[in-house]
Amino acid sequence: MTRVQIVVLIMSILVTGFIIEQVRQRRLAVEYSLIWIVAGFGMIFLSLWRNGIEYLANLMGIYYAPSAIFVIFGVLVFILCVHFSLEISRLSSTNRVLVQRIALLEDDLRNLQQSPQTKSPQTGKRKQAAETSPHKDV
Amino acid sequence: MQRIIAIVPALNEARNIGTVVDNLKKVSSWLDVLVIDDGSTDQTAEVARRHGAKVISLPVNLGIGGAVQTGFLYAVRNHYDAALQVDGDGQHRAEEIDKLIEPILKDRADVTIGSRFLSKTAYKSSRSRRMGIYLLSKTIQSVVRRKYTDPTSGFRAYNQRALRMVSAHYSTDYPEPDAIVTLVKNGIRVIEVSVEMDARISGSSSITPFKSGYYMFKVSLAIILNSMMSRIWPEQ
Repeated sequence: MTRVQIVVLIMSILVTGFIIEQVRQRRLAVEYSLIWIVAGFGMIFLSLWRNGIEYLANLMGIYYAPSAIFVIFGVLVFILCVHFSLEISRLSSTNRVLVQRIALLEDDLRNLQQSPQTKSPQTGKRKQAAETSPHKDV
Repeated sequence: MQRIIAIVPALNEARNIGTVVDNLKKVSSWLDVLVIDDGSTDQTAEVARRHGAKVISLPVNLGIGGAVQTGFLYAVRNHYDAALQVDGDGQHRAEEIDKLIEPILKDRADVTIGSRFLSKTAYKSSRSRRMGIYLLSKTIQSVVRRKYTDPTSGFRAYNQRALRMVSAHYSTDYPEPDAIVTLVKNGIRVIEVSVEMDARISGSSSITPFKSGYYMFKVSLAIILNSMMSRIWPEQ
């Protein structure tokens, strides 16, 4: 084992260990840890595999092996960014629906408080509308 | 008299949900039926309400885990003694719920899981699905040292103790195999009961063959990670 291999191996193990510890403490959700765990094990694997980078570079038709590292790294970061963009889009859309639902419920509640004895059918109708309408634009 | 609630998660099951609710009500009139409409775009909520179920509609789609957990929260909040989880697609037979409830009421278990494979039942499924279930079962066995033959089964019963735990900790994507590990690791008694199940009445299952390889990978890793997690109630 060369010195650089040992350095990379230690770093990879630290990164993977950190991620697993965060999951273990229930601070990082399992869903979001998978991609990091896979990346961590990938790093460990590459650090153990002598000339692995040269082999992969050759496979991809890259003459200068270190640039293969940048290609792999770039692809990984790209995938992560797209993944997070998708996740943010989903979160903002559910967030919007939640805000709208709360506003409608507050309105219903105010109507109920204003007319405590008369349970008008109109309020009931509005409530139902509030329950069904947000689904359609999700 | 013990108060028991049946939690039925449903996503776009307008065609099946009426039958499911009717069957539950017919077989056990003492059962409260709660349908969790997981942001359906069809008439699921209206149909379920018309058939006499209580319906909670989620404003956004949370996935099966989040939907079922809403039911657990409702059960805990309203002090139910036990809760049943029954799929909204008609796979689970209402006649079988006594088998699930009985060990709970006699305090022989905290959670019961209806299994299609514990003893020979009439249930038929594809080879790839059986293979997947077998692999999950082995993964779970390796971390909890106990055998669960049907870890993906969503036909379950919980007592109050188990409900308090699952209402606080329940994963959203692939909750069934995960929950077994979390529960057993936290000292909850989880047992399997042999039940008969039907194929779906209509529509398709949420797990497509296309995604199943990725699903298997994710779930296995999640099971292993779950088995390493810190205990939920360390004081016990």
